[in-house]
Amino acid sequence: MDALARLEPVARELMRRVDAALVTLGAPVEHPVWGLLRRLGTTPADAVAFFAGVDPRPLADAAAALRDQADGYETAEVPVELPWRGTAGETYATHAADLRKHLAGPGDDSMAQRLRATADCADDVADWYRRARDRLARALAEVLTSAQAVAVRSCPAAGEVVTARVMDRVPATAVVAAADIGARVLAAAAEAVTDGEVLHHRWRPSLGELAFRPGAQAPLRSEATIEVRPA
Amino acid sequence: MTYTLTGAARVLRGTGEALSDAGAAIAALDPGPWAFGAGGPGALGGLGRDLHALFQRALDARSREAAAHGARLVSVADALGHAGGGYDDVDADAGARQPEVP
Repeated sequence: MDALARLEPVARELMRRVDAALVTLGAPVEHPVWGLLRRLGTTPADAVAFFAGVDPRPLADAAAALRDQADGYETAEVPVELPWRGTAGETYATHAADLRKHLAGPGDDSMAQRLRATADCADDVADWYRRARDRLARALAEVLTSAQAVAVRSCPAAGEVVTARVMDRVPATAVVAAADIGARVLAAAAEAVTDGEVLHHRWRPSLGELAFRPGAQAPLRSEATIEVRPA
Repeated sequence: MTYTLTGAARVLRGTGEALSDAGAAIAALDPGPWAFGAGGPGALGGLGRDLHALFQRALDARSREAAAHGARLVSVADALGHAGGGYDDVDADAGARQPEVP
């Protein structure tokens, strides 16, 4: 259980009040929470619930399975050297070497390496979620012990009918406090989104399909000549 | 390891068929959009959908690579099998024409 899993249940009620305050009472016009709400298109409570609900383990499982498959490629047999002399034998050896290289190297690019890169991508996404959860947990730890949290307790709870009488009893400082908490939590979520966008841009060019590019010689054909020589 | 032509053809065919199977297995490794947070709200869900699409395209590419290379290996195995069969025929004919001297 990580820090976010421990803190999210404790912070849930506070975050509900923050959301309710933002929805019903608003925030000062120049407050940074507005920009963050526009950027993320989600409320602070929903952002926390989202990261708390994400489970990156299936991504790590997929990465492990892809690496197992890459191991399989690297140990797969593609016979290259055969007791086969003459043009047909040489053509076969060249083509088989190309087939083996495409499957598992050596070289910078092979099917096995693309599998490993795909596994690395899945692991990176899983790591990104872990970092994002840590960011959110730090933000929650800060806001839970803040003076703003105390002030927000006087805001209406989620679902409470907000009448003029209720609004009158909410001090202006509580409205600003809810906006401050919302901004702190959404800033952590926005940093995570930026981090995730960088990850997406980094991986996008390197995971495309690897084309097979045989060498100069033509592939083996069934009508190729066999030259039989005495042993 | 040294192979005969027909032995090499058998090994190539096995590797090719294993690759074809791997193509289907790789496609099944997608943990689904939820694992990437694709169902999340606002920009969080949008990023999750982008990341899932990236991974799904990568898996599709790995799957196609495996299927295509498996087919290539099986095709070469067929050609090698024919060549090996022809060699065996020539060997048998030569043996029949030149019987051992007692």
